[in-house]
Amino acid sequence: MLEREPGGIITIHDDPPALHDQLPRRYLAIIAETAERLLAAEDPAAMVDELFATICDELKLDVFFNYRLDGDTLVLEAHGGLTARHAADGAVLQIGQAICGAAARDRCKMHVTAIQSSHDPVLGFVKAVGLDAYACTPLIYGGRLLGTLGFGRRWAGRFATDELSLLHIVCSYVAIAKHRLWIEADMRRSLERQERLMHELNHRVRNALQLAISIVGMEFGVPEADTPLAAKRRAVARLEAMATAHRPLYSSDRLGEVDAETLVRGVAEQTVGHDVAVLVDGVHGLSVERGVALALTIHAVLLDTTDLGMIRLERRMTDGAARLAITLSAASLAGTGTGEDGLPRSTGLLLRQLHAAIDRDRSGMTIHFVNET
Amino acid sequence: MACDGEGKSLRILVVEDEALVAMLIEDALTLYEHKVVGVAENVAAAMMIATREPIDLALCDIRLADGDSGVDAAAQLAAFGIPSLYLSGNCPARTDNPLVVGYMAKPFPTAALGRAVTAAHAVAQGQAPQAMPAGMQLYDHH
Repeated sequence: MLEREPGGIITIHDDPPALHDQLPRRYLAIIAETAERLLAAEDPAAMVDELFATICDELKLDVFFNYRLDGDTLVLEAHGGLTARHAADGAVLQIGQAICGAAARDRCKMHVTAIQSSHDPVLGFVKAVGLDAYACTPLIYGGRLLGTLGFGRRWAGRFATDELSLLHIVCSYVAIAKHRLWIEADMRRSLERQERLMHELNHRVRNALQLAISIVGMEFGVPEADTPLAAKRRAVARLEAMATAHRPLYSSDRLGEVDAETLVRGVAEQTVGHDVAVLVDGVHGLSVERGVALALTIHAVLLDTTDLGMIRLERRMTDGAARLAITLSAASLAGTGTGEDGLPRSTGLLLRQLHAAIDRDRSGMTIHFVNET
Repeated sequence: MACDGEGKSLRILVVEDEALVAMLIEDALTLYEHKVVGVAENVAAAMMIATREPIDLALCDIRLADGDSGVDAAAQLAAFGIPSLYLSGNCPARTDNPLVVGYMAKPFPTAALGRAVTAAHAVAQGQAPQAMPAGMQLYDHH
């Protein structure tokens, strides 16, 4: 059915496009060749370039525009017969803008005739390109809008009905092929992510086991007067602190990264044995290696602390560098100046791994370091 | 006390970014009467130590701090004539670097470190190792 509208725009409702018996035999040959090429296509933009080359002589086409839907805009993915300036002018369209935007918005095929004699502002762009006839088809698969594909002529003011049928059939094939390529790309991304995850898991498991051996081995450095039970408890508590750093892993797309607030809260509550108020000025990510080092440091610092009040996590600028500062408010941690006095050797090494410094004041202790995840 | 009883005390560079793992390696090697001349968390730190200390063998983790690679560390140390043994969860299956003698995959038993270091040093000197711990593999450079 054709519906004539003012300004030479004809909206066509013929879904799905039919293969008419009356179509010229050479059109059927073009459709067969097109289907074959689209089935073998591997690149969405090159695919439409090849398609244009296949049909432009038969249909005497001068121009094509292929837009890809990207969020709420249409992005020019492939084109032919345009000057660089025209391509740049039409590089991005809003839904509803120009004839391609209108076809996308209304999800309707549009045939625009006698463009050069029209004053309709919607046709301004195709008129500036020099077209007199233009046929634009929204590319839809499974109810999902993928983009638009439009073909234009400078030498004539309209397309014949058979020509429009051929273009609509070809566009329906393009929609299927683009959907297939989209699914394949999505599967490839998914497989690559799984592969990265497996590699990361392999590294993480092996490293965590090595670290666990080190954590238990730290007890060999403790004076012999200590009881075996106390040594076991300390080793278990350190392993739990390390586990806290691993718990939030793989909960987001950022492999190997943990949320600092979740980590600090978890290890503090686990060490002091009660809920802890944590004030934070935003989201801070930590690599799991830094997370483990920070968790074990906080655990060591809070081990004998019974008066922990609040913890504050904030980003501070010091000497032109952004540092993550963790302030532990507790009178028993208060003091003056900086330094690692009184902390065990292992904690000193962890602070060096973090490139962290410690400041003490009247309210407690602050551990701060440059955090590059 | 040389627990393995295999002689010479070696000067070892540990290239490892995890402080506690480095501490464990250092303690174990000290127990076997080797000397850890330094612990480096990245390639630059490793090279800084290599320019000021004589080193018999480097033990290199593969994934280092600052996105560095132990493979790069071993390559740059090789330019100084320093042989390496990889200690990592992700040891490469092969190497083109003739001074990387082999690898020991994490997690490794600390008791095996002394023998691994002695064996790796012997191989680097062109000798056959007297004993090689389970989990240690040599690269085929032929």
